[in-house]
This record gives sequence, structure tokens and C-alpha cells, in this order.
Amino acid sequence: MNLLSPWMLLFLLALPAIILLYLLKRTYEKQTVPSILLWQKLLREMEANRPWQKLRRNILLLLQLLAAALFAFSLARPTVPGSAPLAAHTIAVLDLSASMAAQTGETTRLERSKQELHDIIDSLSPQQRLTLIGMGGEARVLSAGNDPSQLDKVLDEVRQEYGGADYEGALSLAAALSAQDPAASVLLYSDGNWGLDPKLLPIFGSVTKLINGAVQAESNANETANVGIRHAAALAIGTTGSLVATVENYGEQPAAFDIQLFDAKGDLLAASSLNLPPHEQQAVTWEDLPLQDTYKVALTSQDALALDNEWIVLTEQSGSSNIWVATQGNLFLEKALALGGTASVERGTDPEAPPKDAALYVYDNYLPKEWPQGAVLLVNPPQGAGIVSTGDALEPGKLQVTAPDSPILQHVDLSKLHLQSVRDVQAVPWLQPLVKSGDTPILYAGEQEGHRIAVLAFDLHRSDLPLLPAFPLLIQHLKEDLLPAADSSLGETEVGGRVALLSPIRETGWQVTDPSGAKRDVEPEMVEHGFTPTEPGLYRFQDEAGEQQMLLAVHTPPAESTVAPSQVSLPTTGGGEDDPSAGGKAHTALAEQGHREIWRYVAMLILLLTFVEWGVYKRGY
Amino acid sequence: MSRGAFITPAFLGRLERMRLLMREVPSLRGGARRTRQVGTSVEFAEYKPYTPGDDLRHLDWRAYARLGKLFRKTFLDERDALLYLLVDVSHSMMFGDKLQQAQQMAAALGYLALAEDDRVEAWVFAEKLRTRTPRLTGKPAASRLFDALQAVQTPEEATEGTLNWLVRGGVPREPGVVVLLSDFLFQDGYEEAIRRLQLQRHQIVVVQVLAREELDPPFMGDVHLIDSETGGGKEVALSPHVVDRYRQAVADYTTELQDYCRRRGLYYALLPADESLEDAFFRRMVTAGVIGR
Repeated sequence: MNLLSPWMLLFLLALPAIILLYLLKRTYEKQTVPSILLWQKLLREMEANRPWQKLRRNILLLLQLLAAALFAFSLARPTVPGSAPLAAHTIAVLDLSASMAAQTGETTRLERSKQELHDIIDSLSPQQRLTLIGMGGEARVLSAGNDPSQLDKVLDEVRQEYGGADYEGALSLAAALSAQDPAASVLLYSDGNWGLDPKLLPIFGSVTKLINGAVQAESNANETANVGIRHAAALAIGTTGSLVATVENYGEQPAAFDIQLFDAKGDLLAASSLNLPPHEQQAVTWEDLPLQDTYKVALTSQDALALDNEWIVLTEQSGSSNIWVATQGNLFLEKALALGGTASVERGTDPEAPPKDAALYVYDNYLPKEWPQGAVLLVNPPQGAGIVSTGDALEPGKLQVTAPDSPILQHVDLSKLHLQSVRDVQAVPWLQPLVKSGDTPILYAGEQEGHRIAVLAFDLHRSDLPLLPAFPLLIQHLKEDLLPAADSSLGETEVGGRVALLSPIRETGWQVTDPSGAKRDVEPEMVEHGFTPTEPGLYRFQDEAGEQQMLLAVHTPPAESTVAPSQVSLPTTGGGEDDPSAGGKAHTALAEQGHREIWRYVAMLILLLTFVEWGVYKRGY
Repeated sequence: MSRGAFITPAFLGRLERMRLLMREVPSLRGGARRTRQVGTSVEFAEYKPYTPGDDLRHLDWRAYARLGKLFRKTFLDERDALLYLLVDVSHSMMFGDKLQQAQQMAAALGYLALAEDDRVEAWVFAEKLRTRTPRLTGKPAASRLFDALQAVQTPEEATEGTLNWLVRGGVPREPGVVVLLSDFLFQDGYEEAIRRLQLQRHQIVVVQVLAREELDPPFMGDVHLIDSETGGGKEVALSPHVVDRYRQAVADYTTELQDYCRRRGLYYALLPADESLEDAFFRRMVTAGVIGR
């Protein structure tokens, strides 16, 4: 047994203090009685009968002294050697991804891992530190130190996340921490399904142990059995809908289950039984469905992970928008506009006679005098005055992005862009410059009189933009920004993915309803940075009046559906990787014996003592 | 204290229906009390055969005329009783109306005796004999007895009650009935004094008066008990357990006194001080056999 705070034994000085108080305390209340003859007799008799009467009369004092001694003892934090030896610095990486929600018996893997971590925290000695890293949507250090209460609190607050995780970031963080500290050991609470190339795994500085979410590799097949919906899509064809869903068996055993299709109200539309061999996929198709905004596909399978058994499908309207391009010939632009497939691109030769029904009018090297019916994309407008006023061609300068948070520029890398010249566009309040070359903006976006407009103020042919990987992305983003939301859909995404909120959600007064039913306002911050869903299901955006609504379907990433733990050997420096015995030795050398504090039991004993004291007092000894 | 409150007339009325019962009254004077001794009275006792030397005046000549044999006719002797009322006024009697109970009981017994033409003396003692009334006779003397008893006070200074003065030659010379009214909490015991009284052929009635707080102490906790007589102290941590033990000790002590009295042929009565005089007199004293109809 060890004492972690031996100086607390100074509290044993309370013992003589109690004795002193006891001696001083015995102030007797004076009471005159007719005669003490009988009292004398009685006391003589009591003392004669019991030679240890004096001791007995002080049994309360003895109990008090014992309680005080135990109290001082418990303050000194007695420990007994703990079961698991811990390194001086333990780096615990806790996987928070959706696959950790897999059920093992009654609890999820995350809960079991948390319980194991609680045990480790309890057995920390003051010289030992623990760094807790959360492997969630973003890798972050949750807490570090050796204060068990703080660590326990942080650990309790950690919540399951429903998306993938930044595995690489978390592993790199842990590796970097372990490389800094030679006395560190790393514990990874994860199932090991990271989808990382083993060659790219970060190199850990010290011994690393992968704890597979409390699941043994050869464990019960029930705990690793999982079927999930890999993908589902619905298309509206005329007045009927058709839907295809891909189902995969991720487990090691053949699986038999039902697949069910529900409409938006939750009524069952169709169901069929499936049998899937291990690791096989199967596509299920339904035709001639009543047309709905959303469908729900569900699997009735008692598997480990329930999150991937449901999939909300948004119906896509086919061919709903037309793009009209007035150009002398710009293959790059036309091809880029045609990407994505949901819009049909029509090339017009006469820029003066635009069709009435197009949703987006693209003018290449032409400046229209009047606003057409839909949104406008101006590419290299010539000098003159039309819907905008333009000036001379100017020299390009150093490229700078003025609105890096704009959804149009997300993942668009323009740093390698080279230009020959830039058309000067007269500044108007409704045109927001997004990118500048020198002092001259080269990309604008804005809205005027209900028309969305974007301007690329340079000649594509005289730049290398179409050759950059950013070009199709930029055009796609421009399309998304300019095209009106043809259907009431924001599309589909995975949990943790970032969704650009397009107009009309950009207006004020919109609210979003979570899959759980919680309602909140759409913050300007969501509009600027994009919206990040945190749980799977259907997000419903509604405007103030409730007239317009936009839907967003969110799923867990299919990669998280693999719940069978996989053994990953993590590279470490110093040859521990190939030679487990050497690693084990290093481990023992670095590890300090774990401690298990027993002050709780001592405290319980003190509590018990107070009851004994009460009992003694009641019985009158 | 008015006499009415001391002894009520109603109580006196009830009292007159009772008599003092004494097994033997060793008084030398004739009186109204029948004794078991043969003597001179109108109460026939028995016939005895004549033996020479008997008083010829007692021969029943009518029986001789009929039977031709000499018979001596004997009568029961009728004597009066001499009642000594010994009242303890030591400091321990101050508590819980003990003294008042003793005074009233003495007055009641004294009245009963006076009503039967017996002689009564009231003695007041503490550490020694303090006062004594003259020998009172006849019912009219009752008021003198009451006044004398009512005037009894505990002495100012703390006095230790004892019966030692009896041992040191204070025993009344003339045999009679000695009624000892005290708590009998004497540091130096009571056995020797009672033995001396019995040697003097006194009939003894022991009336032990105890206050309620003595029988059942109301205090708890750490108590420094101070003796009202000696001023001596005793520190006791009073717990229910100790109080239980104390009650047992009191019971033991009174039982011991009662046993002693029974063995030596004394009357014994225990009077809790908080009991009404009627209860104490008509129940306890009757049970003890001191009085009866």
C-alpha cells in the first residue's frame, strides 16, 4: 500500500486535539440531589462489575479518534497497486465515428471504451498523465493532465458522432505527441476501420495498442454482423417515381432481412426480403411509385449498427432546367456547364434573341443590354454599357481572394491562375468581388432585381483557368449559385459534410428542423460557411411564412458500416513494431505500476463508524 | 399553611373510622387498646384451672357451685399505646414534598392515636434529636400536635440525616410504638438504631418517603451530582442505560429495607412524596397493616 499525499497525515494531529477537547468538554451540569447514597452504590457496583468500565465510558471518544485517524488516512490517499500498469504518459485516442455506435450486448462500443477509460483514469497515480484525444469529425485534444475529476468530466461529456472521423488527423496528433514524449504509450480505442493506406500511417514514437472497441476479433458473430444501405436514389419520371437502393452485407455471415420502402408520411409502400452472402451488394429497384418529395428505405435487421439501416431519399427532378449559352465557341465552358447532368445546355448563336424558358443565360464575350428572364453569367464582357458597365482591359496583378468563405470558392484553388488581361467592370453595390487580380476584381457575384448574376471578367481563352482542376468546380459552384432551386432539395450529404445553403435560404427568417425535431434559426454563419449536419436523417429548411421549404437528406458514411474490427499494426520507431518482446520490455521499463485509490472505502468505513457511534450513544455506553 | 390544607376535616372524618392496629402494645397504662395480654377489663378471655397462689378474686364462684371445681376467669387486658412520631427533617427531606408528606402522615397517625385515647409524642430529628413535643393525650390535643408538626422546618445549615443519636442513648425509655418517617438514605445505615429500638421493646413502623425524582431521575447527560446534605459530588455520565441501572438500584434498596423490616417484625410502608395523602394513608398504610377498621 502506498500513500499518495503522505503529508496529509499531519491531520493526525487532530487526534490529540480531540482528546484535549474531550477533556475540556466534560463540563458537568450541576444537579443537586437529596442524596447521592444510591448513586454511589450504583457507580461502585457498575465499576466493580466491569473492570474495564473506564474504557467503556470512553468508547465514544475511542470511536471519534478512530474516525479522525481514518479521515486523515483517507486524506493521505492510500492506494493499492492497480491491475494495469500504466505508462507515465498515456495518450488515449477515442474513436467517435459512427461505427463506434455498434451495439455490443446492451452498450455501444463507445460506451464500453469510455468505461475502460474511466477505469484507467481511476488508477492514475499523481505522476502519471493522460491525454485524451477525440477522433471525431475533427481530431482534437479533449483533455490532458492527471486530474481524475476533470478527465472523468470531459470523458462523460464526449458524445457519439454520426459521421466519419478525421482518422488521419487524430492518428497524426497522437503520433506527434508520442514522438515528443519518450515515456508515452498510446491506446487507440477504435475498430481500426480507418480506410487509410498502411504505408501512410503516421509513425508513433512509442508502444501503441489498438483496443478494438471492447470487441474481440473472434467474438460473437452478432456483434460484427451488419447490413447497411450503401446508396439510394430516386428519380421523378413524369408523375411517377422510381427508386434504386444498394444494400450491402458488411458482416462475415450471410444475412437475411427485409427491405422496406416508406413514403414521406411514413406509410409502407413496398417491402421485399433479401438474402445476402457476406460482403456482397445488391441493388433493389422500385418503379411506378407514387411521386413523393422524399422516400425512406429501411432494413429490418437486428445487426450491430442501426444507423445505416435507414436512408432518406430525395427525389430528383430530371431535366428541369435549361442553360442557354451565347458564345462564338467555347468548348471548355460548354463542357463544364454540361457536367453534373441535371441541366441541359443549349447553344445559341444570336445573343440578341435569347429563348424565354432558360434558367441560366451565359453570355461569352457579349454584354446584353437588357436582363433576360433568368440568371446571368457574363464571361469576359466586352467594353461598353449594358446590364453592367465595363471599361478597358487592364494588366493583371497579384491574385488575391477577397471572399474565401463564399460557397462559390469552396475547394477552388486559383493560386496557379495566370491571366493575360482583366476587363475593368464598373463597381456597383450589388456586385460583390470575390477574387481580385491586383486591384481589379476578376470574379463577381451578386443579385439585381431578382436576377442572380456572376461575372468572370477575363477571357477564358487567354488564361489557363480551363486547364486548372479548379475550373469544373468553379463552374459547378457558379451553376449551383445561379440556378434557382428547381426542386425543393438541397441534395444529399454525409454527416459532417458541408452543404452550401443556396438562395433562397440566404434570405433572413429561415429555420431548420433537425431529424430529432429540434428547430433553430438559420444563422448568417451557416450561410457563409456552409451548413454541417451532425446526425443522419432529414433536415427541413423553412422560410418565415412556411411557404417554401428545402430538404436535405443526411446519411452516415458507408465506410462506417464496417463494424468488424480490423487489426492494424501501427509503425513505431525503435523496432517495437517487428519485435513485440522488445516492445514489451520497453513498455515495462517505461511503465509505472498503476494505482488504485482506496480512500472511497475508507470514507465508507468512516460513515459506518458514525452509525456505530450513534448506536453506542443510544445504548448509553 | 392553614390547618385545613394541612389535614382536611373530610380526611379527619374518614380517619376516625380507622384504628391503629398494633400486634402488641407494651404500654404500662390502662387504656382503650385491647391487647393480647391477660389483664383487667370487661372483655372475657378464657377460663383457666385454679392453681394455688392465684388471686382468689378472680375465681368464678358460680362455676364452682355448678361443677365443684375451682376455675379462674381471665379477662383481656386493655392498655393505651404510646406513639412516638419520629420525623426526619434533614436536608434530603426538602426535595419533592417529602417533608410535607412525612408531616401529614405523622399528623394523621397522631390524630388516630389521640382519637383512641393513646398518648402521642412527636420527635423531630436530623443529625440529632432537634425538638420533641410533650406527651399529648386526648382528642383535643390534636390541634397542638398539628401545630407542632406544621411548624417543623428543615434546618438552615446542611444537616446530614442519621439515626446515630438513637444509638447514642436517644431511644425513648417507655416502650411504645415508634413511627420512623424518613427517606432512610442514611450514610451510616439504620440497622443498629432499629436494633436498639427493638431492645427497648418498642414496636416499630418504618415509613420510607421518597421523592419522585429519586425514584425516576429526570436529568440526562453529563451531570455533576451534589449531595444536598454532605455537599459531596459525584460525576456521572447519565445515559438511559445508567438511569435504568439507577432505578434498579433504588428498587433494590427499598426491597432490602422492606426485607429487613419483615425479618425483624417491623411494619414497612413506602410513600412516594407526590402521592396524595388519602392514597398514601388508606392504601399504603392499610396494606402495610399499620391501620385497619
